[in-house]
Amino acid sequence: MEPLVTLTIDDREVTVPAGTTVLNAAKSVGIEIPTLCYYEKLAPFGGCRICLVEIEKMRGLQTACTTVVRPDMVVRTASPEVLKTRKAILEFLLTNHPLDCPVCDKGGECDLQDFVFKWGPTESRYIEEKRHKRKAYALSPLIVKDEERCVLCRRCVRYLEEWADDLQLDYFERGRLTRVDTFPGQPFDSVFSGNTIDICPVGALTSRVFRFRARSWELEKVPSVCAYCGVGCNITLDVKTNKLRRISGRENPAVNDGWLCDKGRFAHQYIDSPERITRPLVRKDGELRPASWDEALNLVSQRLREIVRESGPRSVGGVGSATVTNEAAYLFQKFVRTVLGTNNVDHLGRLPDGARPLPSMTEVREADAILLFGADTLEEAPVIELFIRRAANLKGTKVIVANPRRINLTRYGGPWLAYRPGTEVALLNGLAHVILAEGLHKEGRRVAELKEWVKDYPPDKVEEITAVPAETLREAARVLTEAQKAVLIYGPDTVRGPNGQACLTALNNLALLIGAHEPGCLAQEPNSWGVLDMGLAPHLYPGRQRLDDKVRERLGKRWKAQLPSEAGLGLDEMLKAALDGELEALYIMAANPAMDHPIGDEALEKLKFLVVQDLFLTETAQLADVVLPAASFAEADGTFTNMAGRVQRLHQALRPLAEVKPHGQIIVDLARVMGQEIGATMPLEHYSPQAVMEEIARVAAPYEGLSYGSLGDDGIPVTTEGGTRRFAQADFRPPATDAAYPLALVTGRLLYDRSPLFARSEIMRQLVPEPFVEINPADAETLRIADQDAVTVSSARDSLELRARVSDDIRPGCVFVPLHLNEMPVVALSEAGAAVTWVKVTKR
Amino acid sequence: MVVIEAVGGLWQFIRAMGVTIRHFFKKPITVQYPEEKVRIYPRFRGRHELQRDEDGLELCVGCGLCAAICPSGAIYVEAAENTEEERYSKGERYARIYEINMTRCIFCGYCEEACPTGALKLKHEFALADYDRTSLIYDKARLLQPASPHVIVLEG
Repeated sequence: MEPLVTLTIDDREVTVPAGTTVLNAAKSVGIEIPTLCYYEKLAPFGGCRICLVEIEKMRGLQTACTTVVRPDMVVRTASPEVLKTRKAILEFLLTNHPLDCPVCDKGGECDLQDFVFKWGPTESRYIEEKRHKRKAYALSPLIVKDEERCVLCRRCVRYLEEWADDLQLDYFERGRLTRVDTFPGQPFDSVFSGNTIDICPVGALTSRVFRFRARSWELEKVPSVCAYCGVGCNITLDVKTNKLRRISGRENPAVNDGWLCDKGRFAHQYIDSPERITRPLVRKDGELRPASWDEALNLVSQRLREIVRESGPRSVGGVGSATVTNEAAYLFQKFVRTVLGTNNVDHLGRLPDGARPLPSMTEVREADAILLFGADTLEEAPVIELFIRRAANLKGTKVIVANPRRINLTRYGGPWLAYRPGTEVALLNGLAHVILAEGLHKEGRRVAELKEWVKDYPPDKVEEITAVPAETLREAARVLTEAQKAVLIYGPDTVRGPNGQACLTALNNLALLIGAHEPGCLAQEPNSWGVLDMGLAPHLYPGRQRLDDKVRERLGKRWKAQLPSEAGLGLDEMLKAALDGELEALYIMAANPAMDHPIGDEALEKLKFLVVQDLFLTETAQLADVVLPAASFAEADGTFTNMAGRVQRLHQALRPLAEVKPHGQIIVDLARVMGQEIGATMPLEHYSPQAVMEEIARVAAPYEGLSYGSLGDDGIPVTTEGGTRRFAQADFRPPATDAAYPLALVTGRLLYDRSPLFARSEIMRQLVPEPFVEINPADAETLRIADQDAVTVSSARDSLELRARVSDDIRPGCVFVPLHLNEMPVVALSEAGAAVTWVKVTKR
Repeated sequence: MVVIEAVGGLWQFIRAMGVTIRHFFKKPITVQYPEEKVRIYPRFRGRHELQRDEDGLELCVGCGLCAAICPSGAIYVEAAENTEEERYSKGERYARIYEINMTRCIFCGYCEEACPTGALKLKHEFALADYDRTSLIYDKARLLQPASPHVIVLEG
């Protein structure tokens, strides 16, 4: 407990912990002191002088933001002297301020405007010509800068230093010429650039996307959750006349703490895209033609019934997506299980069994060492990256990166373990071996067994297998074990495939050995955990209950249906069955397997009947017989469960177009047409997500007691049970190689890609890079490939035409091809279920 | 009693008729509108007109303060950015959509008062009746069109 200090502020006695600033002490009792340069999430700066207060026995006025309280201090924040000075400072600021509030996007939510209104002069005494600086120029494609409005508080520069650690802005020139700008010839392309708009106290930095789209007072503010990645950033949807005008960060210390990445902030224009599907489409004479909902649903109902009757329920299946809400996912699996009568239900990108959510954002932020295994937070979970960068930058948190590709976080010098793809288990066993050999482990029970299991992985041998130098491995082990609070984070792809379970086991061993929290999976989709909890998987009922007789009976009673007892097919098996002609119809909700699954497009073409509900005519929807227009995340109510297992509420902010319906509504309507109620309908037959959540709370144990009322705006973490943690054997199997295809393919997501929603977001899509393949200079030299050469990347299955990017960001022997950048599916190169995809690169 | 009351009543009647007769010989103030022009004072608040500057550019910058102050919610503004090729007003911003719903407007003039650029003026046109409600929603093109009201403006 810190010692307390008692002082007097404006004749009120205030007791605060020692070390508090006068400003915060005043704030704690509700006394307002204006600040421009001070921002609560940045270190005090003391540059703007507007927070000057009078302190007895101190000469002159003092800056409240940098003065630390002392016992028996007497502070006056509103004495005539203070008010006079405050007014004078505001008047001085205004002599250099253009006062173009009517055309300024900050007008109405501007600190300077508010302060002048409250404390400033009512008339200007300055009659000379004002200084002129650059106005309304593009600081970056996303940010518009007005130099005249800038009050030089340095918040943007300090934020980039302290948080984003992207030093892309700074002061230039001196005195009245001082300006904030980019370094000559350098871009301002931080993916966290948009936060500078939020923290700018004036209208010097404004958004290109929001530019002149509304005035701040016209906006209706709807709390929601970002639907791009698994972090689940809390956002505010700013709406005017049923149009989404702006997204800004919403304060929630347990999640994003008010920060956003530029993707979440700016890439929302797809909602108004003219390419949205606005009416149901039905294939007639080989072409998709507009139809009425009645016609479309009747056709779906009739065809699905026919196929079930003729070929049995096993011949149909449902594919969902982790981008839809819990409510929609729950209804979807219930529809497939009760109305279609099959357990053939799954979703794209399902997390493997045994994967666990991140401990919590707070624990990640407070960690003193982080192991990122096969994950790239910059591209997959940017706000986590922001937290890690701040911790590494300011607290010296060590970031150990295990990745064949040099990711941004390797710059903090935590060892970079650039392993060969497919050797993950050997690497992890090697780490365990070093820790045990050097006696660094914290967990002592049963280590003898583990020692036995990893005895074959001494550093030298691991170096041979994984190409990670023995010394680097030792260093990583040392860093991990020296940490008090280590957090292990892995990418979902490392624990998929044939070695996935072994890798997961090895990760668990390592975490147990160093006394860390269970390793957490960096889920990539906004609702990756939620859809599993909802039972959108062939082997799981809601609440992740296994398909045993007891559960089936209980659920059947509740759902008033005879539930299928046969095990269902997963996505891979469904698509394989479709290729073999055994699966005849698929119902796909918001997924695009034609692009995202190795055999997606061939399998879908074989189907007798395909229904797709989505926002856009994706590659999958183009193959469909019926396409149903679905609402975006801003057009429906619901909940997402984020990568740390936190259930958070989305509020409907927009009314969708007349013929567009929320995913859940479509399922309820279809079920009714097929003659069954699947619950959650209100008297007027309106789909009620709230009622669905109430049903979920009764059926799925981890969600017990949850309701929209109890979730509030900040959400609630749900805990899914993990098993007892114990050491287990993780066997390394060397991946098969292929002499004809010498290079290992590494794939990964990019933050800015050509996925359906992002690619249709007007201004943001110009930031999507051209499709490329990254290749190490050593490999490029042997293959005589130069930077920017047109090359063909081919595997035994397929080939892609790309442009070469020669860079040592990728380790030798590997090539990196980003997903979702080109028209050709990258996944088509891979054999479903292979540990490593081997390719060759040839010049075209 | 009855007689006294009757005489009193008759006297009142004659007195009242006197007023009528006196006015009968005065010059009438009724105006034979529309044949004749209406006389109004300079500060009369009629229909709004959007003003242009000396270069013919719109003065309105689409700030929306008129819409914010309007007590009857009659004004709708959507702004957009001027480009070099398409310039409507001098600065960065102009009103892409500017609409006033005359069926809602109460002609209080707050909008004119709020306007920071002097773009919006309540002028002297008052004959706004129409057969169709939608045509009473004036868009920017109509508001930019100066009206020639059938009036005589009185000296201040």
